[in-house]
Amino acid sequence: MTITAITLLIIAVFFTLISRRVSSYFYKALLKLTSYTLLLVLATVLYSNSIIDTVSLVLAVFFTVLSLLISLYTPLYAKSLQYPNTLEVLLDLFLYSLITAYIAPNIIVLVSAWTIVEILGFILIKIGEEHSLEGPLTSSRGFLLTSTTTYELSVFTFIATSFFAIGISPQLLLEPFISITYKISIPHIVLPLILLGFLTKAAITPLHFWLPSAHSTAPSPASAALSGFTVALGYYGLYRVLYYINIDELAEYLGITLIALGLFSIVYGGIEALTQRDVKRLLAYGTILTNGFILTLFALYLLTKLQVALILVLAGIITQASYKTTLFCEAGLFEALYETRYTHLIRGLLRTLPVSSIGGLLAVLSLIGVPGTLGFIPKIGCLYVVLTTPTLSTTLLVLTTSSLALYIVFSAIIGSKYISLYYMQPIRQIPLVRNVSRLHQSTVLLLGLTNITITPLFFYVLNYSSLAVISLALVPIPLTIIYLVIHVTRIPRRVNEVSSTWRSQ
Amino acid sequence: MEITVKASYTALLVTLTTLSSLLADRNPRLSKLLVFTGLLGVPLIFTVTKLLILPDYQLVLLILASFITTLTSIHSTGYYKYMYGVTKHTKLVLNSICTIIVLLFSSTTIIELLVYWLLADIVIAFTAITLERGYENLRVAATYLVMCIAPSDIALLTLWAILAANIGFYESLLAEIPGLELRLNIGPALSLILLVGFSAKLGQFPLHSWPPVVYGESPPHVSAIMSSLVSKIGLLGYVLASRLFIIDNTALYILVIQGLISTAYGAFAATLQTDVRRLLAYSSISYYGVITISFAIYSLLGLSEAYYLTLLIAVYHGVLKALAFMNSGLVYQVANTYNIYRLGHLFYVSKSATLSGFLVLANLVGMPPTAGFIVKISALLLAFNAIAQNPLMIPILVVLIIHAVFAIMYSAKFLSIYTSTLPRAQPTRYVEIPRDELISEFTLGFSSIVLTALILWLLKYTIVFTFIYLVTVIFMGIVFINYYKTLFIPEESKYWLTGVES
Repeated sequence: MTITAITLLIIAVFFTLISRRVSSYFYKALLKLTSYTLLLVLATVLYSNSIIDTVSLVLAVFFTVLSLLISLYTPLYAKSLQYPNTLEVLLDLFLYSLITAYIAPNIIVLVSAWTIVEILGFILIKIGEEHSLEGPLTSSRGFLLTSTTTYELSVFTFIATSFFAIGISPQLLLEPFISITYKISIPHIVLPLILLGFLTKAAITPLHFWLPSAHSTAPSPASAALSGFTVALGYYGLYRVLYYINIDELAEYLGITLIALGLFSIVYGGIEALTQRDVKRLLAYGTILTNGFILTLFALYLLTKLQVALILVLAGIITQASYKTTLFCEAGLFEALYETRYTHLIRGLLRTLPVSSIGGLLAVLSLIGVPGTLGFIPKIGCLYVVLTTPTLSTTLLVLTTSSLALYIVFSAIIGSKYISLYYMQPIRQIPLVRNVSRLHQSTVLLLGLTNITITPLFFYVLNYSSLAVISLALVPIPLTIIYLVIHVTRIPRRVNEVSSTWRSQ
Repeated sequence: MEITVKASYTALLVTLTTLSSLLADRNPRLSKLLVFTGLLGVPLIFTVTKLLILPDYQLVLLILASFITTLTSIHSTGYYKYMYGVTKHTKLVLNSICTIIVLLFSSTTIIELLVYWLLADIVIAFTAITLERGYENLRVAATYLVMCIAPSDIALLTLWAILAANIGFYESLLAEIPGLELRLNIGPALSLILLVGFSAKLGQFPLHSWPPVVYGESPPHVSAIMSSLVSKIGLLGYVLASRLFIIDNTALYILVIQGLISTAYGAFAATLQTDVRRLLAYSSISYYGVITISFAIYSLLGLSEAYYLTLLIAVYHGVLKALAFMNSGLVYQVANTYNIYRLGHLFYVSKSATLSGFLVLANLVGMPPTAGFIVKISALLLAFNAIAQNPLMIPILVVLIIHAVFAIMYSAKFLSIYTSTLPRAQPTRYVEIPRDELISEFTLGFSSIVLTALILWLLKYTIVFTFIYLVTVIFMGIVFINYYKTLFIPEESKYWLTGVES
């Protein structure tokens, strides 16, 4: 089994390496399609042989689909903005190691793949730093010093304490997650050290400061992957590590601490996002906002141990991945088209980028949480869990509802601010620097479509067929809204500007 | 309710209205016919033939909705033809909102209610509000999103979640509203979440600051639909919540307090406005306050008269505000401003528009034979009669009197845009108003008089009211006929001073 998996992985990487050498975009796309399909096959094979569990499968499958689309987007992006050729292959390797981390059956594979992710992430941010027009020059250093270091610290603390508890043996490192039966009791004082790295990775306030500059400086496809997939590794790692640790007596305290941190992140991220002018910084603060909410859901899961809560955490992670990748890739198109990312300069995208804007609008609707998009699921699900769980204490009820309400409000305001990019006239006309081809735009459109198509698939994979049917029936809602928005932008200027009969004042 | 009937109902409505909006420029007459059959014909046929069975409150709101949406749609044709030349795109958005609202009021299962409610909110926020001013109005949309949509949607989803916790996930989605009278006992906290959330839709006290912004900045027809129909979704929420659950009394007392503050505040603030539509928006808050109080009294004391009064005010306010907002649209069309102090001469610009302005005044003042008269009298009578039952009625009575008195003040201010000054700067040019707009405004205005007759017949009021009604109808009829004749006297094109041509 191990040999099959490694072979599949190597073949997939091999296909990508060839695809870099092919000049025709069609063949390149075909090779990429094959290699990512191989990854999908790998995930399914591992799942059907009961080596990985449903959480890994769900995350790996949907992230692979999104990764393929990002990977298709990258060569066009690199070409139009004259990025070095290595960007494409580095990004592909980055995505592969990410997916490998998610389908890792045991802790040693997870840790190794994750470390590769960190190093490649650092290199990608470095490339962006050297190449892009905007963004600070210290962001890659910040990423390495904060995010990577704390992660390593936490992981090795965890491994070291585990060795103290069960003795030095390869059993801990090699045993699949799925077959763990024991729980390790660790000294309480070590717990914050273990949480630190994962919370930093998930950019929870006050450990968020590395994220906005890193995500806004990296090349757009890399920002998309960093913001969509890497950040979710924080929750995934936390989920895996807390699997080993006996936290029953601390669950209440831990849950309340996490919800409080989440609440703080929601408020902080929301307020900061509202004051940003750079689209990518705005999105980066949006990541902090959404992560705060996912942390609330995660804490809800820790406290109630409900299956539904876990599904909601997954839905939250996939929602974030789907809309963040779309919007970051779209921000890459702004860079190509206008050479700027300032929100107050960019207007009327439905005219300048007619194809990709539809995808972008779908992502914004998902951020707002319109029924029929992915973003609706975590919001309504959270309310459902809170109101249908009678065992929840009053403190938790109040904390969770207020965090949900704040998240709904902030995401609605940010979404409606973001929608202004698609409308009407800019403050002053800015020149269009270069053409963005329809092909390039359509990759973003495909990414945007995942915001509505993943919902039924998500429920189908988790064996909720009726919910899948219901969410399929809701899909026309966002499409109707976009159809109407397109019509709103086509209204001509007024013909009877002034028809007053009395204008003396 | 068979699913095929519902599907054909929805399909007919959607197809007819969409076709109508796509044909708006190519074939205006067919487009009007389609919207008439779609929005008014289809719901009426389905309800009369008992294919669509709805509870009484929903039936009243559905008929109101289909009547007003039809007239709004026809009115908007004239307005946008005059303003932009092209009506297709705007009509598409407006007609979709109309359709969604009609579908919302005719929903028979909880899932339909959820879907149409959320859809209506989002379509209004992102397309309707930005219809005329584009991205400038996204600020308004954000206000609406945060102050109105978020609380009311949380309340709606809470309603569903409580239902789901009690009768099961899928059962709650597919539960049929007409027979759903569970009377589940929920605590004061959940009652408060539900009622405060729904009251946000009606712009009640802590969340009362959005109607002036939203009604004041949206396109006139959107304001008309929002004030007359979208706010009534909040009322639907109130009634539905009281049918499904036993609402805690504490929450109801809080609702009364919210209503009292909003009624008084709305009435005060309306008199201070300089913008026609902000005036109307504050007046709406005041009326919503009366609706809220009346509903809360019904739930607290169990007075069935209060329940009918609530529906009555809802219908009356729907007709009145649709007329008033459309009339303000007409004002903007001919004068290019909403500022009351820059207007005042519009009688010399359009006598026919003045007539519908006068009908608004008559309704707001409560002049017989309009529906405003019967509504105000019934509210005051009810409050007087119930004083013995509950001392709470005393502040309510006081607030109702404040509401009535200030209504006279701000309605005078409303009519002053037509009649307060003579034209000063230059001889006034008479402006031709599109026929579509006049027809729909007059229909709405005179329907408020017909509504009175309907109420008198339905509620079997004493002979005194009927007598007053008949006398005033005859008197007003004579006045209107004489006024109508003057519309056709040709205007003097030149002004003469002492026999010398100026």
